[in-house]
Amino acid sequence: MKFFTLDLYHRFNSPDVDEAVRADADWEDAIVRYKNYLQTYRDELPPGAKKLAEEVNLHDAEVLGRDFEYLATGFLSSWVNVLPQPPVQIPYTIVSQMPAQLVIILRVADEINVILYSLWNGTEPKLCEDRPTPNRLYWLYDEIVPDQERPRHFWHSILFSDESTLEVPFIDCVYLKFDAERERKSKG
Amino acid sequence: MEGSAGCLHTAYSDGPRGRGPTEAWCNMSSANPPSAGAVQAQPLIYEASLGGQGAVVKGNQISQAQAESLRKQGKEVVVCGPDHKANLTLAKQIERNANGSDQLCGPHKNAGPHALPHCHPIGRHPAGHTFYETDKRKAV
Repeated sequence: MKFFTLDLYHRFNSPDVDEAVRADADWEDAIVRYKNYLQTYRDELPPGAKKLAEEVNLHDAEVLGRDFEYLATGFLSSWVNVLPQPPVQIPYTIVSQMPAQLVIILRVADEINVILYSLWNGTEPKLCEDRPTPNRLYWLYDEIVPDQERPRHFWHSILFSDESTLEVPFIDCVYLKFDAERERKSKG
Repeated sequence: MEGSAGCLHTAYSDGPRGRGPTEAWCNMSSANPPSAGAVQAQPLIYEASLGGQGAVVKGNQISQAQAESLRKQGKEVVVCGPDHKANLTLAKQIERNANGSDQLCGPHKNAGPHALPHCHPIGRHPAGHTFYETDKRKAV
């Protein structure tokens, strides 16, 4: 994370209220700096990444899965079972949109949100964590920035509630959401 | 705090994070009524709901005890006023009294221009938030 850093998040939560107020000003500054920086490469972003960068707010979404492989475990008519356990069922029409190598599945109220990434060749996502993942994990903040060396290669950095950071090297991504219950009823 | 009708006192919290002393505003309006035209610095608490573009919409004004009761039920409340520090302090106190812990989050970059920073319990249960106004961001 270059803008919404763990250190800034810690300062926002400082027991020293004066420090927390100063961190709020720095937070507002980070939002402005990120949005200004985003303007310099937004036209290079694939559509799914542009939507994530500019429109989607996944703050406090519950993380149902963040897996480094595409973990489809079987096709059940129009559904695909994806980890975690118990598996989340995602319509095949969604997962068929991209030969994804990384899937993140999130729940926001009754909606299931899915991010499918096509990764760079030979570069693994980096998960920085120093503690066991808790039973419930939430998405806090994220930012999408370009790689400094490779054109049209990007990083999606995500800070989670356990203070782990996932750095995803991607060339394309798809973001979709659906109401799981409604989909299930409509498909019978 | 010119014109303020409140006073700042320190209380010791015993929540799970053990942060020690916290400051809180108490109403001393009978002792020190604000002068006419003075800025009302004492935070006020309202029921809240979520509007479009991340806006936090003020409802009825409520007491701190009522706010803590609503937060126990997972409802939204918002602390409003011109003093950022006092708002933040009271929001943390409401959340901690209601749900035993407080975690602060700044507005997400895509939450919209009217989104407010907020407190919620560390485990995020019950749902909902105690929002608070800052120098730049206000409830509607």
